[in-house]
Amino acid sequence: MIRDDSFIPYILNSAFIAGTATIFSLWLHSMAGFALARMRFPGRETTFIVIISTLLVSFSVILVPLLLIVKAMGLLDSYAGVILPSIFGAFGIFWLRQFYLGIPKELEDACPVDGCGWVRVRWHVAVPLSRPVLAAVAVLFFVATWNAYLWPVAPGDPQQPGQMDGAALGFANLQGRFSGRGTRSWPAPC
Amino acid sequence: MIPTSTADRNGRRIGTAVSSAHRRRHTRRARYRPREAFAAWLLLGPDAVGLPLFLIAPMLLTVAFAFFNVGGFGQYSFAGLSNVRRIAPDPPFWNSAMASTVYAVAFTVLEFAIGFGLTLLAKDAFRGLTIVRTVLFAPYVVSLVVIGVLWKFLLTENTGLAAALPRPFGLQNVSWLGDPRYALGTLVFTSIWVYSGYRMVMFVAGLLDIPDEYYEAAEPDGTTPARPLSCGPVDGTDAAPATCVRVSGSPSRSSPSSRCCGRSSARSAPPPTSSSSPSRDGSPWTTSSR
Repeated sequence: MIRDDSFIPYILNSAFIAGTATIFSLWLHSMAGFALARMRFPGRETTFIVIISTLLVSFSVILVPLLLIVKAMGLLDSYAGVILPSIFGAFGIFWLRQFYLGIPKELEDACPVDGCGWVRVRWHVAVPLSRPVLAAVAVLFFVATWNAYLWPVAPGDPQQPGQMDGAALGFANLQGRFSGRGTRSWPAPC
Repeated sequence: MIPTSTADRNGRRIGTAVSSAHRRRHTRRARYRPREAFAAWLLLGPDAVGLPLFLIAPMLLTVAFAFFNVGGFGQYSFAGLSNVRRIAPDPPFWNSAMASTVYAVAFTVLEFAIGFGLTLLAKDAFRGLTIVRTVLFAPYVVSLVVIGVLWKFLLTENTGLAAALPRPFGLQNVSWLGDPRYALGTLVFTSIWVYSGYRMVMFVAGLLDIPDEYYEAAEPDGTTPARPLSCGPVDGTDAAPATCVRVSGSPSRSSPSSRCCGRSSARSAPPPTSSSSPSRDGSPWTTSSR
């Protein structure tokens, strides 16, 4: 299978997409989770509730509008178009916020005494402490992005499928290998 | 109210409506430091742009599109409520809504129950525990496409493995996916097969978080076979994701009171002494757990 079919590009695609999305998710969501858990600013509760409420929406509901937005940004048929929307989600923010809530406040109170600001509190206190939870979230994100099936197809070019397909799609394509590649049909995004 | 606020100040994990309302009042009284607020929004920045753009805007657009007739090539014309009027008497729509509801309820309940049952099986140490846990968790790691192909293969009519299952009982081949009576149940079953191991790992992580003192505190009170699950383990599964139903919202986690019962864990439980509670010695649960 590895020899006669172009399966390696699929795996490389998946690794690249899932890896990039995971790294960016961890980076952005740990920042947001830390801010929501440990810092006081106007509108914190409202922001958190809005973020949590997006958990309720299933992906297939927002698929078509999301495609339109990605198209309006000119990101169709590019890795950025696949990766950017899969970074953002409420789950990681929620999970990391819950973790940061559990860090003893004394640890961060000690920092301003030593004369360091919020950025350094985050980098030298919060991030090292949260390594285990970051690892857990990283695994979840990576598996989710690796297994993603519907979204990576959508922003691709329907004229030449398979350019950015990941391993999941590659495997599905194997099913129809002898009946031709054109089994996937997607309408052009309007 | 008082214990909630202390829990808050100590930075404990809190999630109830009461405590968030309390915190809101608390923060309103406190003055914000501008630098802290600025730094917070800076940290929130990327997500504050990305989430509205890629999640909230599509949500709103979905709602907006409900009132438009959308042609395939970019024509939009306002349609008012005619889309709703068209879908309201549509039997396939209601059928699929019903199927979704049944699937969601059955899957959530069964997955939760089976995952928790597996947790109790795979919690205490025994020979081969790692293998059992690995096997149970393995389906979650496999790509969903592979799982789909595999189960389609197993469930094929006439030739599939699962289709032959009822044959020794003198029944005809069952078309697990083709028969409308069984299709939904088959989907629920395969979904549970995939996800219950994952749920089990979540629960095991939560159960291992419970300090052994709870179990030791519960022991002199006479733990009965039926009661250990009623509050002990469930209380500690806070680490389970929010999609799970929080069975217990009480803050009793911080107080290992004697009313909270649990079973003695195999790791650190002292050997039972006959003097502590005579009723416990005859309990099948206690003997089976050792």
